[in-house]
Amino acid sequence: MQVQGLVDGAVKEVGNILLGKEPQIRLALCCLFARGHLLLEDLPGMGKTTLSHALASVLGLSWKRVQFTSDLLPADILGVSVFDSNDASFTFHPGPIFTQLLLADEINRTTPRTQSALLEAMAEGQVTVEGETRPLPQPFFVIATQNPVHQSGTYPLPESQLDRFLMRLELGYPHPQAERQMFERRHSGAMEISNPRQCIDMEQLEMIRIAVSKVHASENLLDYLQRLVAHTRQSPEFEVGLSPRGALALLDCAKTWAAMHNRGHVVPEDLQAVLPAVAAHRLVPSGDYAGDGDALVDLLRREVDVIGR
Amino acid sequence: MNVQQQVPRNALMWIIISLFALVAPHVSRLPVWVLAVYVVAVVWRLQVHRGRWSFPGRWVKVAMTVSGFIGIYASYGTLVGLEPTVALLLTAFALKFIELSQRKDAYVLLFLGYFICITEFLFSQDLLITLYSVLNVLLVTTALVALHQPGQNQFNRGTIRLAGVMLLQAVPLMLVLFFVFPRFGPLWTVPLKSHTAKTGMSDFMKPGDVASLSQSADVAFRVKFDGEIPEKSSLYWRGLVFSRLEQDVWSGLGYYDVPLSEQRPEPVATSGRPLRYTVIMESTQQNWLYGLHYAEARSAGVLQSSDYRMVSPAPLETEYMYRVQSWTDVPVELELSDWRRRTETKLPPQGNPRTRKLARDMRAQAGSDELFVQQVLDKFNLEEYVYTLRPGALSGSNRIDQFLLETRRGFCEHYASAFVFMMRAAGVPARVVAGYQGGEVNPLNRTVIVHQFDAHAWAEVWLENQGWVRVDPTSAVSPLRIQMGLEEAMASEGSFLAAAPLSPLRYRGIPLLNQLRLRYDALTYRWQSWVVGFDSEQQFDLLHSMFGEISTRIFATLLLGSWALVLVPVAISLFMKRDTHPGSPLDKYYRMFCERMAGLGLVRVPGETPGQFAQRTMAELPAFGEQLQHITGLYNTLAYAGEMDKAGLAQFARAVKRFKPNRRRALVEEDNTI
Amino acid sequence: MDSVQTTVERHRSSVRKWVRNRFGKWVNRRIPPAREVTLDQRRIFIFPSRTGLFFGCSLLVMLVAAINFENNLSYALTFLLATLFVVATLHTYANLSGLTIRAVRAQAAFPGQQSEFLVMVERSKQRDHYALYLKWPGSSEAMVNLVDEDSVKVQLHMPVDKRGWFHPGRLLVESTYPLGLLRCWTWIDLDLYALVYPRPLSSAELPGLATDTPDGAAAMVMGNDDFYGFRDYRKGDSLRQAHWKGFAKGQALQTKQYTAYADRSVWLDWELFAGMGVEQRLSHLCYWVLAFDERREEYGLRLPGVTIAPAVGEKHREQVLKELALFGIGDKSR
Repeated sequence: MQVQGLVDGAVKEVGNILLGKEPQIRLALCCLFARGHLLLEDLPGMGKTTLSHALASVLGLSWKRVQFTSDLLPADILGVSVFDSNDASFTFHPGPIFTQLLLADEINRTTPRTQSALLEAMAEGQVTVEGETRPLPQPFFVIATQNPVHQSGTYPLPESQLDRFLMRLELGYPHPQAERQMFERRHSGAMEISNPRQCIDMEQLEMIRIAVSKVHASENLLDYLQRLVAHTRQSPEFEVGLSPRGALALLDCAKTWAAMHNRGHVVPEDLQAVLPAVAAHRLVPSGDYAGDGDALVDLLRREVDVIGR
Repeated sequence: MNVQQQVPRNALMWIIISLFALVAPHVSRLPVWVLAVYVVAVVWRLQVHRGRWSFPGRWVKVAMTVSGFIGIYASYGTLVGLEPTVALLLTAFALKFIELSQRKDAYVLLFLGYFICITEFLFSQDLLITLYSVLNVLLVTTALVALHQPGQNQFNRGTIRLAGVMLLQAVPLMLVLFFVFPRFGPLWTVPLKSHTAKTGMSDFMKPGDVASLSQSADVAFRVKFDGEIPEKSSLYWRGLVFSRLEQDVWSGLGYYDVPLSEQRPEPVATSGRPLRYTVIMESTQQNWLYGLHYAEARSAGVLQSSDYRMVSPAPLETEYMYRVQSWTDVPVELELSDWRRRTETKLPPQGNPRTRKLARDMRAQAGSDELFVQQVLDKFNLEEYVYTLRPGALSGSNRIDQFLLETRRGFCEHYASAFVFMMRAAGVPARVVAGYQGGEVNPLNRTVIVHQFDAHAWAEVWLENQGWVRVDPTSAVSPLRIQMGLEEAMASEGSFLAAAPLSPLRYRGIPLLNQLRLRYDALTYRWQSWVVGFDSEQQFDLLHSMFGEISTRIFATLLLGSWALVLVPVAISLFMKRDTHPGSPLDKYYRMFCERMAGLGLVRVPGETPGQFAQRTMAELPAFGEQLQHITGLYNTLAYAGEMDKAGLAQFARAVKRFKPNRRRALVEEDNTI
Repeated sequence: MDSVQTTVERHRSSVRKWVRNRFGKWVNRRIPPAREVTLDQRRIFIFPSRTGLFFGCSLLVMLVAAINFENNLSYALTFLLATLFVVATLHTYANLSGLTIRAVRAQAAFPGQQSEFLVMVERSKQRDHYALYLKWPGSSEAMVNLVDEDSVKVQLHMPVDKRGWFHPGRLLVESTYPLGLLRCWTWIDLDLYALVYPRPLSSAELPGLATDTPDGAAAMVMGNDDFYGFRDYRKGDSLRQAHWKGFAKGQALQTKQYTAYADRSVWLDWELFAGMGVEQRLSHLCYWVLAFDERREEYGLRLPGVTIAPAVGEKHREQVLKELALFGIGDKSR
């Protein structure tokens, strides 16, 4: 009851700012609860920044934003040692990465070198600058955004790097009703709602994690998961199937999803709920298949039998 | 290497197992060094497998092959004959194993393995050996299957199961072929077994021979009478006739000792109902057969000798079955030819003067041959003669004198020999007959089991107007031997089977063991009479009784029909085969539920969870809402909430079984609710 | 004498060719090309293998032994093995029957390289299938089991030579499981083609480089791709690009400079290589496609009738190479 209550509160709070996007907000929270990094892929102006800022506020996390540009250097994110001529020594100026929630905006605008510096830090939870390793604050989340339309001068993340993001979400255009509400708010000047209030503190975050770790995944469910994963590796529509890391990510998210709905065990619906966000960006369609990752996920959900034989 | 030529590790292990299993029954016939070759071969090949050693080079192989030949020659003194050939085959089998690297080598090896199974049958067709060979065939077949399961490096029970299933599927057709395939005679003469240590009668007899045979509990033959079994005391199984005495050794007449005119015996005028019976002899590697005098064989291929014995043209290499009819009281050879009379009264020119004198005196006193016989028997009976397995050694040149007048202790051959000597000394035609007397009746199948210790020697005397008459001097000394058997006759002496302490026959007193022994013996008899002894005659009888007149058409129909009868079910079982990996019972019941729903036109799509399916169907069939919810709830709890237990499963199964929706009722109830 | 022999030889070879042709046509009729093929009795051939014939000979020897020794158990064993042979027919057939072979994809390759052909073997029933042998004439071979999985992907490699679509011919699917006595096989024509690119042919300089920038030079702009050199620190330069190490050694503060190729669009144009043969032109274009792709620079393609806008990335490269490969060739014709 407690977890669901907390989650519902947080979703409502964020939903006040980002109208009509409750499912995405819920998934984003799920991603953060599962200690994963989030990739938001959408056109500019869809509320990516708003969402990440609101998430940071709701969870009471320190927050920084880096706009990725083509001339951004790894040092611009990680930090740099500056020589102080007064006491003739180097002092470390930490980069923006030293925060709890980093919004990496338009990550595909920067060079692969800078991208991989960020991704390495994400994977390891620490930063190595000039031979010295410094731990990142805990918890540490990255919400990266990426423009899906291929524009000139961009460097789309390679598929292998996409695997580092636990989930990929698309926000999409708002529902007409929500959009109308937005217009009305702006008209009435009520848009300037300051930051949403914090709903979940560190202690509660920890509690949610404990609840997740206690969620039971039965044999039947694991069988279903294995059938899903096996299908991606065997069907001709898939060029690249789900990696073991991807399969584990699915299970983690499904467990978190179950906990977020106050259930002590995972049901197939949980897996199906998180499947598009977790799996779509990890799947590569084979050359002859017309659809993209989302189509593959859809195929997966339709074709793999929930009930074992 | 070509992927098709690789030998999986699994197959290598099965081959090693079959290797040892195949050689095991041959061990007693093989020199020890052949077994050493097997151990070396397996160790070498395994070291190759582990990458420690390499395959033998060409010259090493040549050297091993040559030394194999030399070794066999050194051990057997010859390379021809069955034992050396088989030993050579087995050695080649082991050597071939060392160089096993490709699948084609394995084929050669395994087909050789099948052949080695066959060679075992040439030595024995015993029931146990057959069962063991079935195991060997299974192992070799399993190795063959494993050879075609690439990438299987662990023992897989499925491999041996498939081999077993295929062999079982092959059995019915095998039986049809077995009973239908025409039996020819041999196409050419084949290497025979060397005549080693087979217990049984030999074609000569000296004092002590039969006594030593009495130490053996081996079965000599089994007899099945068509009618009642005659009195045990009348069962004289006549096998050998000894007409010649030279240096204290009795022997039979050779083929060339009998003049051409005497080769064919005078026909016996038989009358009355004969005794009919079937004999299955164990392998003797001798030619002669046993029967109750006067016996005529009913089986083709059995010859009759000039002294009215039954003889097989070839030595009995394996078990041999023949049918006989006997007239036990017809006179035989009423007219004795001069040559025959001369032969049957001939004695060595010198020796045993006291016996000769005694015989002549007694004959003179008796007045007739018949009375003379009776008086000699009376002498054995009334004077202190002892029937014993431990007669003590006789020595010197007058052994019959020594036995008859001094030691007076002897076994049947002493009495028979002395009796015939006395008859011949008095000019009465007489000869020693060897064979078996009595036998054990197996109450389970009414067969008579004749053991080696039933070996016996007696005499035949030719009397005017009576022909050859059987006289058993032993019965005069020890009537118990004839009426009850050797065991009772030797009860006081305790010498029965003294040399065979483990023989099951010694434990006849223990009912359970005895029952087991007799049961096994009955089984062996059945085995021998149906499988081992199956011959063209039996084949003809069988086919005739089943199909009447045998024509090509019936033959073809029989073959094709039986093949169809067996292969069609096999094909169906193969092609209609359902899942070999059955799912959980829980899912099975849920699928049953889904099938019932599908009957209503509500088909669950694969990706639909039980919850989603229930929601959809409940909207369609509100009348069943409660049941659908109940079943789905139970399934979800059992499948996902980790509360899977037997009681829950049973409850779920009950709920599903009770759920019998019916479209019309569903609609009617829907109407009602509306 | 000689001429007679050659005539006979020629005659024989023409007969053989005729037979092969007829067989090919017959097989084509029986097993038409398809994206996926399920093996059934129309497609499966079965015949004793060489091993099977050898086994038959062994059986004959055993039978002779049985006859000569008049040994009934030898007869029995011989007949058992003979009927095992018959039963194996069904098992061998069942091992191949019901399998579905599906063409998954063929990897595009350059001439002389090995193209990877991917097919999937699936079972319809939960029966174990062992030792399925797959091979195209001239390709690598594969031996797979279907025991724990319901389907398995098989990769076969085969060298390709000519630009365009490459069809590997008929795929041999064979099995001698379980006893090796019978060979059960089928030839299936899968609708599977590998794209063969033109052979890349280097040219030292891209003649008359056509770019969007008027001067046509490969303009270099400051970026952060490659370290280029130092210049004196000016106010406004990023502190993070300052050369602090040099500064610590007492040098004047300098700024590290990086270069990147500017966002420019190179057009790889058919006309750049005017005067050369078709294949040579395509080969040169192919070389430059690879060169620009490696440098992650944008490039477009202009062929007669084909224009692809400049872009960069894997998909773009494949699209461009495909156009080069199929230039002047109808789709999937051979």
